[in-house]
Amino acid sequence: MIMYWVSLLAISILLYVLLDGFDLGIGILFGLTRDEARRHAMWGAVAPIWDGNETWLVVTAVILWGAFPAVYAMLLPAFYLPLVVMLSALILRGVAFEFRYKAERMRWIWDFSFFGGSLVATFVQGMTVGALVEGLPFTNGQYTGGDFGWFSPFAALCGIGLCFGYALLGACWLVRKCDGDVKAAAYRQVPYLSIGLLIFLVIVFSFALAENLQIMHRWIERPYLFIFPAIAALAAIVLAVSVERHRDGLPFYMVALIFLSAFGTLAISFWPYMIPYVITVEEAAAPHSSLAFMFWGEGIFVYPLMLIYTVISYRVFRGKVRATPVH
Amino acid sequence: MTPFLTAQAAAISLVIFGIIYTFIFAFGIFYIYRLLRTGLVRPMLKPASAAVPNRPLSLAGEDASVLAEAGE
Repeated sequence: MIMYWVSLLAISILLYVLLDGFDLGIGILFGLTRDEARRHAMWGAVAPIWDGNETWLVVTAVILWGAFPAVYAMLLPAFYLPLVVMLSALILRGVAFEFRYKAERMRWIWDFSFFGGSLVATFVQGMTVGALVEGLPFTNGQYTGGDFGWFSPFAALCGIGLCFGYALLGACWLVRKCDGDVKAAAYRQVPYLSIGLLIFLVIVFSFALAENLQIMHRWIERPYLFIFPAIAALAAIVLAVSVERHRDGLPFYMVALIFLSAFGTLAISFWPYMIPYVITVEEAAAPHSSLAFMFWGEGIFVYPLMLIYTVISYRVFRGKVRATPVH
Repeated sequence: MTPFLTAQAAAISLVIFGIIYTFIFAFGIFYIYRLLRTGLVRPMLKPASAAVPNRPLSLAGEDASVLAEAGE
């Protein structure tokens, strides 16, 4: 039962990172262009699906709350302020979708909300992962690092790195969904974003070596983990080739594969810990009766329904986005 | 009071949400006001003869004729 909920949690986090990743990424790329026709097309590439993507953030939080209450109770106080900032960013960004085409002279406010909201939310998510990897001060199951204990240069670096990562995912989505100018621009951005991401990964890796973080020992203990960087390297090569040959469909899946291997790396190098070196999955899990209760409702009925819904909505909006006249 | 939540953190989050929602609702009200002031831009559709409020589906099949009547 515990494994069932761990799997659902892993799937939810992964879906969130991949799906909201590309639409946050497009939000970031949106801020890099002034051209209204391009902005309009980028908007159209995410408008029908972006809010469905954020479902998975809610699902992740709910599974933590219901199935792993100990972790929820430890992480929420640790990341209280960054989470509030992230939610505000997501709120502003979401409202921008509704208000942009209502505004005339003040459209720049919603353009800025969309770009700024995407950037801030992405940064906070990356920073959270960085802070977790680096380790936070907990005593007796309570966070004791203070309101700003999550901040560190390493965490900030991870935040910047995720901005590159999501923007890359976004650019590949645009390549997949758009034509013309937008696609050409996205193709031009992919190499720069990939190089940015690569430089960031090298910096994080050397930073981790220099600080001799515990995660490095894990890697020496468990050499089979190197399968993940190998998959990522392979995906990066296919990405480069597909961009070179302009295969519109492929780049997105390759970047998704890179994200998947990064996620696998993190998850398996910390296993069985849920918060690294503080609490294990077994310790964090709710009593069996709670897990079983949720299994018969959310677990076996609602969750598959959400997966089906997601698949259907992506099928409905499959293919290239047709150009519509600018409002 | 939640033991780990400091008054400072709670106050900051309250202020942030206060600002965000004031901002959003100010614009929302403004856009609705503008919508109301613009008023109707075209004549309302005439409901089909068979359509009654408790049978909303009765309208479905008559779209074409209703639209034609309204001059669309």
